[in-house]
Amino acid sequence: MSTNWDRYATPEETRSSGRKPAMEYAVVSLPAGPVRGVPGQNVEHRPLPENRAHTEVVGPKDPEVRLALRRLHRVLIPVTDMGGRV
Amino acid sequence: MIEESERFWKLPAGPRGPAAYWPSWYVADQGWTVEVRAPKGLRPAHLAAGETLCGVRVPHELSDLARIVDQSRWMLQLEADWDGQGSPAYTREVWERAGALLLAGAVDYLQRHVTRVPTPAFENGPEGSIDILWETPERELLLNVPVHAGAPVKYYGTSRDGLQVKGEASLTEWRRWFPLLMQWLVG
Repeated sequence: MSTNWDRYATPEETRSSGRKPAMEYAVVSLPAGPVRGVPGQNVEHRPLPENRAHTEVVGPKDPEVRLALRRLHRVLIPVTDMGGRV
Repeated sequence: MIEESERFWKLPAGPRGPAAYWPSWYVADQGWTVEVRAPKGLRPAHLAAGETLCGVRVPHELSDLARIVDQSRWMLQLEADWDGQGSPAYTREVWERAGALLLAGAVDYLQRHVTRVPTPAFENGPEGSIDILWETPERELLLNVPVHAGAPVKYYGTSRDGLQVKGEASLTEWRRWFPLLMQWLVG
């Protein structure tokens, strides 16, 4: 699961880095420490030439892991436009 | 005469043993046939004529569930690599398989227990799979329907007091495990 490390990218920069218009994206934050506490998960900073902030949350994403990640997330920027669908 | 409290049926003494309170899910699992006086305020669990969705005839009592599934059709419009991470598109086949599981399971549960399953979220999951997520004040349960028809359904649930349920199950044997998961979910 690709993410951006907030040390090198703001939520707005993350939102604008997709292929679609920025307002079609939401941005959520996940704290690295608790994510590492989720079974089988690790957080690895893997900068790319075009994105110094790029970070991977590695490990299989079964239902247990995904529920755990869901509980950890916090919405920073909600979706504001998805063709009329919230 | 069989008396039914909220979730337990009292069976008379006889070939099946002394009078006792058996949980309704156990009665269903054993295939026992009993007469049930429906709790006040609920009609008997006969199916009224209703719409058909994902090959399942959905009674009026479950129209909210049908609407949830129907409104999720938007995910079928997502193209391959819709997330920029190489995720595949969602196929109608997988969507219908997941919708049929939820709706058939809910119809079956309504017939067995004269009550509705909680309404879940019906969402796009990873790698073309479908997620069905229930969240109640006390428990949450995530069930993932895979892309491949022969692959098992995976599920995981937790409760506020630390109970967990986790496993895999065959989609074709949903009648055996879906009611049990719903019983766990409603506590």
